[in-house]
Amino acid sequence: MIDIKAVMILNKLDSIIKDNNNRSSFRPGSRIYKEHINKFGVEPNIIFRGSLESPKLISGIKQAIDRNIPYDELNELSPEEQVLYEQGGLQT
Amino acid sequence: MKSCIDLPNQPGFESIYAPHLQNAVNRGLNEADEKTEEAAVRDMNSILSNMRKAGADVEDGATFNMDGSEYDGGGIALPIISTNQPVNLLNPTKVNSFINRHKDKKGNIKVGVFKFKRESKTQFKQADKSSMDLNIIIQPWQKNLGLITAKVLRQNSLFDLDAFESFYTGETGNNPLRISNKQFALIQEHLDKGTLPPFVVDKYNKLGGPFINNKGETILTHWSNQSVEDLIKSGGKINPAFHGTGKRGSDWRNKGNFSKQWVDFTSYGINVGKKGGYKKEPGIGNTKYEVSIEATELYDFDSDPAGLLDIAKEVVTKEGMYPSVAKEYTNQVYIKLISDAGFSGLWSKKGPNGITASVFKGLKPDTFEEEKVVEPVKPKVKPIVPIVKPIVPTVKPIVPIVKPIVPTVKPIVPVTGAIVTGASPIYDKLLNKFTNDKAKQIINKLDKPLIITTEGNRGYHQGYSDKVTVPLDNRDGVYIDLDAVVLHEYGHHIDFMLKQIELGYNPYHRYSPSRAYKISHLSADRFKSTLVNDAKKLGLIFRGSVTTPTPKEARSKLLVNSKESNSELVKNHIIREEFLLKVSKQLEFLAGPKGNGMIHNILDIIDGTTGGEFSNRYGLYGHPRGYWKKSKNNKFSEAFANLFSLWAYTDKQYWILAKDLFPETINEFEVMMEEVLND
Repeated sequence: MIDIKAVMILNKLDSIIKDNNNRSSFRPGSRIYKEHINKFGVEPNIIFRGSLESPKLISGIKQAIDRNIPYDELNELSPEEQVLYEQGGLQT
Repeated sequence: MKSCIDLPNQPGFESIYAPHLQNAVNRGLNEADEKTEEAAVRDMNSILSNMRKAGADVEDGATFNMDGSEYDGGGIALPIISTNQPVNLLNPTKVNSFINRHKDKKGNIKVGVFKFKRESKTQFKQADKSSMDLNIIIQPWQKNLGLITAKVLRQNSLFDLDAFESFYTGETGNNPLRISNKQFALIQEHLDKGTLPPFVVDKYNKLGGPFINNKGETILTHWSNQSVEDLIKSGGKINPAFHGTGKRGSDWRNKGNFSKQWVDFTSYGINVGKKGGYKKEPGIGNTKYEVSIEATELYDFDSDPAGLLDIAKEVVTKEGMYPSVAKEYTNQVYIKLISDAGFSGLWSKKGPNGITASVFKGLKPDTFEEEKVVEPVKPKVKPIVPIVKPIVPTVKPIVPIVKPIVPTVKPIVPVTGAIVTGASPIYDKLLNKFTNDKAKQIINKLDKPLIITTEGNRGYHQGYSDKVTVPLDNRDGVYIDLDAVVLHEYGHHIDFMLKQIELGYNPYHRYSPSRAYKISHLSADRFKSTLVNDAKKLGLIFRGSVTTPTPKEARSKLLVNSKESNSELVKNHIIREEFLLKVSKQLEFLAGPKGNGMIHNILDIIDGTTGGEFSNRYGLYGHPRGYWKKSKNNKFSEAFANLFSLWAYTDKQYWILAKDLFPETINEFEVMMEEVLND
């Protein structure tokens, strides 16, 4: 037996997903992010505040893809600070 | 001393110690080692012999060590004590006696001998002139201090022994100032430290030009329409390329008329607030910047010590300029020559508002202040009210919740105690500029970060050394959220300090590796639970978890496992999704195309409670998913820093907006701040 209420809810979810997909497909940051995952199998390691759509981040991820090295913002910290970050002693 | 001016026609004219000449010669000769003396005399003999034989139109010179041998090292010779005589009377005995008179003086001192060339037939009637100088050898970084000292001592110039180049003071050198041995030692002592002795500073400041401090720097004041945020956006310097964007002077048209000779410059006031100093003229902006510059980087436009105006006149005559524009053109060529000669600018007393400078290079301000604008008195006449009613549109316009930010002028309260590196002076002032009075009280109550640095490209707080790193440039290449970043990172420091106090505060050992931040620890359970409650109400946290499935995952779950298909789960998802869509659109609108730091703080709180899904999915501001995954406490400590930023900010509208979204959390945060204030 088909639960009408459940179907309506599922339809609503579908429209939300579609709407969001439409929006994100126009965003270069979102696209390059996915490209990074497809190439390296992992998300870019971003640790600092900002927007995925920031040109600086987009060009950084692009460069990483071109150089065949996964994007990793940890490299912007000193070795001591990297350890501290892992321990929870550094907030961005 | 080098000079082109005729001296009194007295052989052996001495500016100092003249009565003791013979005694010193005898003492010097007796004390000197015979062999060394012979070698030195031989060298000196030939040098001085060549000088005497040189033609009238030849200039020549040499520098001797204090043992009489020739000095062939480098550096810049700063003449302190000088004596002048006709060149035909110049001989080793005379030079050695001069050396011996000053042998008791310590430091890197040398004796310079110089033969001037005859500039005209009437000059040096009986014999060509020469000078003997006791020089302190200084290094290029001390050139500014050397020039100021030489100017005060009424010396004509410094001489670069590496480049064989003179740096003129604008003085004739005709009548050098006599100084005591104590003053000589003071000059040496201060030059070594990179400063000037007080008597030199006093005398220089009485010359009627730009006042200097003991580092030989002049303070320049610039008023601009440009706010400090705009200044930072454009590279952090007062940029001469913006010439003409403020109040335009009469020189503005020269930029177009004489473009080849044009040099961009920024105008500054000198000796502001002091007698005879520049007085601010109307219409030049209200943001007051102060910069410091080495005094001798500015050319004395009125005195023209290097004679550049004569060269400019020659150029203009050769070009055959029309008389109507020749004067202005000559002026422009003169300025170009000053710039080409390597000066950073010029100063002049000819302006109507006092002493001013025109600077050709960008300068980084040391301080800034937004001056209060005196509003004009409103007319008493009532405004005419139009009788016709305006047409009211049926469609409601979109009204932004947040009013445009109007800069409010607040007194700048200096925050002290921070160790600052990089572009430091501006950081403390920004912190003070952005915070309200209550926040200032908290900031002043708790110890400042051990280190505040503006170096690097990223903002973060590092718990190990209590270091706040805040870049002052355009971080993301798109927007400036300087106010938010400055306060956000300081918020992490406040969180850190609250934990330190809880642990038993030790100013010299601030770090505990596992519990660096209060909000990360159990002691902040109250704060955490309020944030979770607020987030749940907004549908941001589902069943207390920040790792809620996405709608797609929820849908799959629903289809795969019929037991999971309870509509409550999906309904909550919809509430959440609708909220996120609504908020993302609304806040994106409020943030505007250039971004708004305070809105970013609100977005980041939402992002934390969704585990980064929000920023990831909608491309809005936040921390990435990996950051939130790193520690489940990050969403709380970041929320604290974001809330501190919103709470501390001068404009309360953002705090009110955040209160609408997170009422319980905001209330708890206010209680926490009150506890700190009343503790």
